[in-house]
Amino acid sequence: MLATLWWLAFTVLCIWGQSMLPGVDFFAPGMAISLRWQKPSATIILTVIWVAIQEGAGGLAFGYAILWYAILFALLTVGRWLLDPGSIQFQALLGLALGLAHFLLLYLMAVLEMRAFPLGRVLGECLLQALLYPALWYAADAMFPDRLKRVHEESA
Amino acid sequence: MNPKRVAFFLVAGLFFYLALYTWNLRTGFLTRMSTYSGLDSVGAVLRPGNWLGDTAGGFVERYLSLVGLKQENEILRAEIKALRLEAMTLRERAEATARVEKLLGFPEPPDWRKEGARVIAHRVGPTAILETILVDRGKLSGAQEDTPVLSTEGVVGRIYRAGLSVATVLLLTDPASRVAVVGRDNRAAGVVYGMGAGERLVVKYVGLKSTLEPGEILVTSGMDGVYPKGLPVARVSAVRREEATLFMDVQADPLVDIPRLEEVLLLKRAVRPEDSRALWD
Repeated sequence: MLATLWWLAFTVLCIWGQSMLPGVDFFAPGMAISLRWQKPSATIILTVIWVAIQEGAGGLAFGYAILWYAILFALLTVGRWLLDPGSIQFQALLGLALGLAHFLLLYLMAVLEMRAFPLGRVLGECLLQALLYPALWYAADAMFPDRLKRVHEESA
Repeated sequence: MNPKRVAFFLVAGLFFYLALYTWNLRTGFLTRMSTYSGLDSVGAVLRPGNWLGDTAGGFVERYLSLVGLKQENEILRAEIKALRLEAMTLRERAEATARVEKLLGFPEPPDWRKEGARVIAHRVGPTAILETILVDRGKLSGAQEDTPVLSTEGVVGRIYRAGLSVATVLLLTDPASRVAVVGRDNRAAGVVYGMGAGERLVVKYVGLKSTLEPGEILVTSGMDGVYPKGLPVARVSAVRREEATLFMDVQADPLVDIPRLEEVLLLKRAVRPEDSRALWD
């Protein structure tokens, strides 16, 4: 129940954040937290919801969000073998990688759909994504209830 | 993990993704599903906050507007008198035009209904590459793709994606936007292209021998099958004639101040004419 409420509040706040700062994914830190502290099934459900939100509210044909979260999942999984997933340094590196991935994915999708690509604006948004990701992760991780962390550790 | 297994999963995943992507491009099924689920849930989250913000903002605004109310009232009274006079003249002319059209046997223009909508957000999310706004009307209230969207100043754009209770509006300024127009005074025809946020619009295909001057208002010609005829779109800001080409180089400024938009009007056509349906389907 607490987990549902926490993720609901997180999703609502992220939607508000995304409407204020367009071009940035606020849900990405949620995936890092969910993968670290929750069961895989919870991460899958949350990812499906976030994919639907990103694709529904965005302007491109369906496809960006699947690749985006697949890349994030791969980076988190590989990064976990090499670095401490709880460190801000790891998350800052991940932020940089996400900034780059955001640019490449948007460019790929814009080319596939033959859309105009506003280079200056997208570069700004990528920079914002790279800078915001570790800050959002830090804030969300600090606010994630300890009770939920313990529940998962005991069951695991 | 075995590298062969990783490679297999990567290739299989990519293949599955490409199959899904192309299937969706053909059918639009996943885009529709995400519009009905994702777009509507974004609307449901943003609407209460907007309402709270509007209520609080309105309260402060009402208090502030009490200052200087008398002077403003006098100015508005004078404006009403001028507008009444103008409306009277225009009504006479409109009635005369209708009589002439009836005499000449012109077909009746299609019936359009206006419906107000609130802007609940501008671009939302990382895939918001298009210049769009979100409005609080969707398919449940009769809004559908290609419904024209206006403000009191002029054309804002058209509905790009419609959820059940929220819709995404593609703005006039987006590079994917095209509007068929004519000059209000000299009737020179052209097509208005968006060039991105904050950029001037470009009017293409205006014949070199046409008459079009800076300051002239461009109105919809109705030739694109989306917008009704006669809606103001933009004001011509620059005209350049180059002999080497067949068309003039025209730039225009949108009449609508898009970043400040709070309310819009959706224009819904009661019955879509057969000829335009054939053209667009």
